Amino acid sequence: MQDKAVTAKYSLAMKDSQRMSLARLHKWVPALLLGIALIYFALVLVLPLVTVLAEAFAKGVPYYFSTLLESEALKAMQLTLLMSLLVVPLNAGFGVAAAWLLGKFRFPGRGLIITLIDLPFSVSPVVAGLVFVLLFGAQGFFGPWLQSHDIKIIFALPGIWLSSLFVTLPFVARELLPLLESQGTDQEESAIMLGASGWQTFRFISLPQMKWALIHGVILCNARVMGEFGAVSVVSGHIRGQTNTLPLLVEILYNEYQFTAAFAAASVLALLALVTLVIKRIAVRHNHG
Amino acid sequence: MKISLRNITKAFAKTPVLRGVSCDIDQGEFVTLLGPSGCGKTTLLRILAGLENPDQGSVLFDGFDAGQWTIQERRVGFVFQHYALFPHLSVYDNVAFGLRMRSRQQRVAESLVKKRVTELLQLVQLGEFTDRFPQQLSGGQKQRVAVARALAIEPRVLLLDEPFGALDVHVRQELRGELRKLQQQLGITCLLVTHDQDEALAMSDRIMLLNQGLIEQIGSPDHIYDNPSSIFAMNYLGAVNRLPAHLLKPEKLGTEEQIFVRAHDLELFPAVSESQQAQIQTIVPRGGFMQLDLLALGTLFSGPLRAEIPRDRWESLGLDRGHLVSWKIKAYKDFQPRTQNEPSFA
Repeated sequence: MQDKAVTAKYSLAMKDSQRMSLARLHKWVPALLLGIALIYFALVLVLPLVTVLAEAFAKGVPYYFSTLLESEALKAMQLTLLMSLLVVPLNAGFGVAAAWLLGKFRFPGRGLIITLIDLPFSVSPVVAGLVFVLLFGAQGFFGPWLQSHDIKIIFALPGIWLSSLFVTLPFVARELLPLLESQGTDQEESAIMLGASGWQTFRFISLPQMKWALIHGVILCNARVMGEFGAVSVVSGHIRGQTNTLPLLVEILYNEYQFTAAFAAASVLALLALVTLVIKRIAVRHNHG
Repeated sequence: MKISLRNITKAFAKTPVLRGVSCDIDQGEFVTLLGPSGCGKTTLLRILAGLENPDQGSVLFDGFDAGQWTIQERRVGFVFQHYALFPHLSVYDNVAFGLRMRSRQQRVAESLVKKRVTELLQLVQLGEFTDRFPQQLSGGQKQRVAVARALAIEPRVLLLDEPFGALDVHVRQELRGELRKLQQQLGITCLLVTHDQDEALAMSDRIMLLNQGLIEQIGSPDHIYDNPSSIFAMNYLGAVNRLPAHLLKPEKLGTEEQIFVRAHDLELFPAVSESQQAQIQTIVPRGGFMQLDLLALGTLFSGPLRAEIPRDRWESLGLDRGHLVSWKIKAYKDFQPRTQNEPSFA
């Protein structure tokens, strides 16, 4: 009798402990996965960022600001900001127009245009830069004509502008296209049947609904314009104080063993990226909310 | 407004969708475009709205060729199956949209817009919902907003593309009644697309039955139900049994000829020998009548049968699932074979 009771109790305890270990397993698996993710995150994302800041401030705060306030650094920052001002609005305008056309209308050649818009994503930026050199460089296709008219494109601002335009062309269009496609055309058709003109339909129906996706696309486009290295490097010519953008300046300073200055410049880029991310986060939250 | 369709044809990528549709719709009439999917009913509605152009033929509004007008000039009210409300605008702004988009000469003062929108929202019983946004409304409420928005521009005709298709049965029936009342109250010409025969029978002055891009039959609901002009028309409206003709005409034995019997034209009585018998398989109460699925086991015909008999008759029979019952045909139709796809007018 007593034996039986003990066995029963024992088997109950077994079951409990088994359940406990299962529960513990369930608790440990997510914790383990989370741990791995955090370590990976720290190594790949946080450590480099911290390194950049640590190196930048290695010789103290005053030194940090003095390197950034040097004329070359200031020029590079100006140029980077100028490029984002000259490129982002154009590609935003293009992206809205292209995405509206491709997302709301069906016409022959539509697939081809979508593929072409993706081209800058699939072509290496260096190749893109080289294309502009081959077109507008001294030995290039339009080179002699440009020289005879005293127009400089390569190794000058227009070259940087063109290659930045090329590289960031898909960002806004690509961000908007899936949204517009998923919306269908019922609303636009409704608006037109209610008497709205084509422009009114775009302005009051289509545009307000793409607002947050548009902001998202603009932010991504801007981040890329400011950060682009490959294509700009090929066409810029690295003329100090004239055609160096921030990413190019970082490389030059680094190659000249001015590590602290290089990291100071890099920290500005990183800071711009962080600001961009915060704005993007707000945009995304609105987009889903 | 009177609408005339004159021999409308339309093909998409060489697939004919409409193959010559002509009819006249009177001022204030409620016409349902009924047919299976792919019959061209939605395309016809979109041609009326100006969203598609016919390949041939014309649409006349009160005798004027509407093909000469822009979509905006046509002034049609259109209600989509999935409402197509503007999600970033409030209920009020949705309904006011058409009034605010008018050209400068025709635009009305905001106070008049307010009066009109308030009236319309009361008409569709959404007076308290002006400040809500579409995502805060139920499906039925959304569709009411869509109707109010379409009516705001005082349309010449109200077109509805399966407007109740996305709603549950109760809301659907409620809105059907409301829409019909509203339409009669306003005296507006109304065309509604549906594939739901109940909806067509319940709402329409006339049903336009479409099949493969042609008008199969057009007429009042009871006319089409009682006098279907084709096998298709009889099949599409109401349950029909297809039976071999030799059941009633022994001389037809060995031929392929068929007769068509409505479910309520089958009479059931307690099983007796020397008669056609069937086994009761399922029993569905349908309010005033019972819908029965039977399996005929006779020598002349064996196979599934659908019968509908009054509830009191069913109760007096005292039968249940699995029991045998005798049946006979009270009334039937037969159709002379006609060349396929030839249009017929009633």
